[in-house]
Amino acid sequence: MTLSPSPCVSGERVGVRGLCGKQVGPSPGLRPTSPRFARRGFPLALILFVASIARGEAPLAERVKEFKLANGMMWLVVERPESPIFTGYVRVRVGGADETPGSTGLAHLFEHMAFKGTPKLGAKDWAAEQPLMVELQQAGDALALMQRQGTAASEEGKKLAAKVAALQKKHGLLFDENALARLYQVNGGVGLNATTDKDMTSYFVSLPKNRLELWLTVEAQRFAAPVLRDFYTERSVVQEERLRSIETNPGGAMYEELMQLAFVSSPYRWPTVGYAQDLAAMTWSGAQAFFDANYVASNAVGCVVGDVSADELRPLLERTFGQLPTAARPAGPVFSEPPARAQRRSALTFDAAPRLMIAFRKPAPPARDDFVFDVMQVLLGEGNTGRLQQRLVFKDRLAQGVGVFTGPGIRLDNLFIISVTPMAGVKTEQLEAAIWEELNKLATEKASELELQKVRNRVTADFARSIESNSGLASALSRAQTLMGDWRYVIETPRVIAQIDAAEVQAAAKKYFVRENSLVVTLVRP
Amino acid sequence: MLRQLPEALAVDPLSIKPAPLEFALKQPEVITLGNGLQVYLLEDHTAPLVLLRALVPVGGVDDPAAKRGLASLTGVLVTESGAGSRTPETLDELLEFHAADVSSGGGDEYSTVTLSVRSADLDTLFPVFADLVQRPRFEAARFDVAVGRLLEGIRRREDRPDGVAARALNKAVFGPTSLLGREATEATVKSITVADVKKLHASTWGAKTSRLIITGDYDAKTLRPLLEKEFASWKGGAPAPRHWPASAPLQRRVIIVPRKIAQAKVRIGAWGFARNTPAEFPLRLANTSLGTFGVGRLYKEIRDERGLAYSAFSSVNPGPTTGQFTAGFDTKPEQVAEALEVATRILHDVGTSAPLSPSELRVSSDIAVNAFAFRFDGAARIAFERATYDLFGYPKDYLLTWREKVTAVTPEQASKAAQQFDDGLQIVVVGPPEKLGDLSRFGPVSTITDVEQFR
Repeated sequence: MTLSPSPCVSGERVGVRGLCGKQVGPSPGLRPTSPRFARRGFPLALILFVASIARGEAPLAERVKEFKLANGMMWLVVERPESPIFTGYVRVRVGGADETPGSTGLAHLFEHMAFKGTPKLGAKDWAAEQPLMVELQQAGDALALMQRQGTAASEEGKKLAAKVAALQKKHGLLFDENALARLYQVNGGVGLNATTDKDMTSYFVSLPKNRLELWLTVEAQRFAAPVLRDFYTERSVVQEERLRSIETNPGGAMYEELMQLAFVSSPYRWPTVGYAQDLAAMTWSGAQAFFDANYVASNAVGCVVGDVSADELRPLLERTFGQLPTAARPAGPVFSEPPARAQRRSALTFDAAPRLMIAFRKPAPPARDDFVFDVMQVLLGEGNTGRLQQRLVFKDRLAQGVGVFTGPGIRLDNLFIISVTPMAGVKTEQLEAAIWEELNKLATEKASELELQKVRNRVTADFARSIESNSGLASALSRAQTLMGDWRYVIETPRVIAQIDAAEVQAAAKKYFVRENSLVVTLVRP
Repeated sequence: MLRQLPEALAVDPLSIKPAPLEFALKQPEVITLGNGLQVYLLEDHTAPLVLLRALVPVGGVDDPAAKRGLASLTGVLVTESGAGSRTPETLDELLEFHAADVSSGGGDEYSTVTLSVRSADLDTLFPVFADLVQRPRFEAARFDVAVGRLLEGIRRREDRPDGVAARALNKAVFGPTSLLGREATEATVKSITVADVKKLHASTWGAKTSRLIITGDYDAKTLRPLLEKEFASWKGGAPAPRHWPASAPLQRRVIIVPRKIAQAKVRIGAWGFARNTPAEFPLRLANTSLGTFGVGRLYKEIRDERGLAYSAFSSVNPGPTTGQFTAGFDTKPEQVAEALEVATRILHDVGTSAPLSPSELRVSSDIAVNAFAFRFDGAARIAFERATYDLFGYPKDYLLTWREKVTAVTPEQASKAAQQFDDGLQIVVVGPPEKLGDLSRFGPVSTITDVEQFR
């Protein structure tokens, strides 16, 4: 499994804020060195055993402190006093895969709504606001239903739309929808954002250390009672986000096509951002019901890494997240994908230079084969010496770049994806043939011990790099805790990878790298 | 239907008063070797890793006009083409066996080489870092591959409409053929030879003008002799003479780049500020009040109130000449005129009829001051930031006095400075022209089909 988010070619992981590439805090304002060809196209970001994360420090396993609240919410803390700051994460085990057809994009839309404040944050007149919101929701959801039925353009629809607009205007006077974001910003928050993927929804920010109580209070409030203010406007914002990340982005469009091709009935089929028609007809009551079912303490994980003390944290946790009610954890999605009997291919028309993705179905962690795929990911795709780079970029010069990664999630069976940007004039068949040759080599010849040692070194070093920052460590621990049920998975994984030998790699290559298990998407100009 | 907060949680978060925050402003140690090479050192034992970086003041602005792309290509090849006694293949194998991360590149004004190693590998790989910086081989086969990949990148730069918008705006603000506005093309890259690359490296990469930045889990005692041994004999480093012609005032205009896409990309440009000038502080605060997420006027009206865009933002940056201000949003083509109406009104009014209020300015100033601690988040960041400030001639106390300069700005000063964001606006719209409607009320409209042909 890959414990860090999939690469951003995907369009699969979407964030609420539109903050990408923008710096919120003061910036040195130097023009950055322009990126060159990424030497390592796609970070593998896992996870190896590191005896100790720093010289003279206790092993990571001993530095992670756990608090389990009475309502079932798990908290992880690592004290790191080097800089006067901390990173906080709250993750909820609910994502695009928990939606049903017809309401795709709901998990992500809800994530946007969790920025609109609480009864105590953003309200100018909470007593007056409540009845108005009831009225607005009735009218707005009725209009959404007409949208779905195709009757919104009728006289009745127009009247309803005018009513909704008038109510929205009236409601707008009663709240400040930026109260939450502004509060974090003026308190020195950096990297304030949230993301939704197929498996989970995550809220995070870094703050100066003296803002710990503030952070816990705000996060607990929006977990307990988020107010879905301006729901219908935010719905339009998400539609724009879809246009931006998929409709006008060749990488995003291709990724969406690949998932639709790969999965017939798995909820990994649809994009996290949702389909345009579903977004247009999304209801406020639907979003509220989704929240009620999934945002329960036992379904969430919190994590703090930085200049905080666990002793200081414990009473604060009791006073904040400890106040959430106890409720049963939702079961989560079920994988029900029919077996594949044939290669599936798709040619996507898009006004951009050609691209190619080849993917293979594979099992989710903790299946042993999932670890073997981690090894193959490095063997095939890592650095200049990865076999596919060697072959396609340097030897045959067929490609500008190659990336190898896993997607779109890890709770359910997923895909091993090879993504190639060909050089001009190179035929897809030629590329495909070269890739298959390299995959067949893995299936017929054993990898050398030197190559396997390279993999082990890479995984160790990348893990150290990924947890060097507070945010990296908080992200890795909380992700494993949320999706695998135990943060120690980040320590166990490398032990497993270290045992994998050449015979096992060969057996997996033989089993999975076969035509009927493969998917091919090409991007072609109109 | 509405949830209420549990009683214990029903507090006003604004009533939570944080304890005062005090922290040391960590600084790197700066030493100068006998040959003039400046080295920035800062230990940090958070992770068993050492980061080795070189900062060399050669970039795209130094390229001969007919060979644009030379500095960028040279920057890439420094780590891609073998070094010292090692062929490209043996170099790649060595670095990747040790799980080192290597990268290099040439930007507008400087080039960088970065090598991240496990601390246990430092003795083995430090000499390799010295080879990369001083003795790259520029082998022909790798030169050909790098040229091919760069050309492919140029072919593909039309694929992403947001990239197209950014390039067009850059040309509009700085002038399409100016040092900062021009770009490499297929023809200029094809005219570059391996001899050009070798010559550029030999004549401009050297100890006198370069800086090394070494941070992380190293031991100062063992590092010093390594440094002397590997870098003391590095020669050369003639500074590239740079002449910046005076910038002609911008004339307001609208530039449409036709693309058949479902969402238009709108970018609005004006001047920012020259590096190391007092204009920085009022402009930064004004920019925060205009374009910051959750706070800025553009964000609030275009995104929140009207739902026209996923994001509406602005940024202001320094440069060697005028610097650059950018505001932007992506929206459906039919909504471009409405959103532009809002954006241009906000940018105009802030310096005239709707100046920044004391509370708005207070918010912007709090954001800047309270996030200041994050500039001291980790040795790698602290040392690199200091090295780039030194490169661009900032005073030594620039960061130490930064917060005082921010808090001294008055609302009047910030609003007056913001008049600059309405001066000769350059409005770039990438989208389907037939759906944009008439945009001539925002300025004289011209159309460019190919950004590369923008003159």
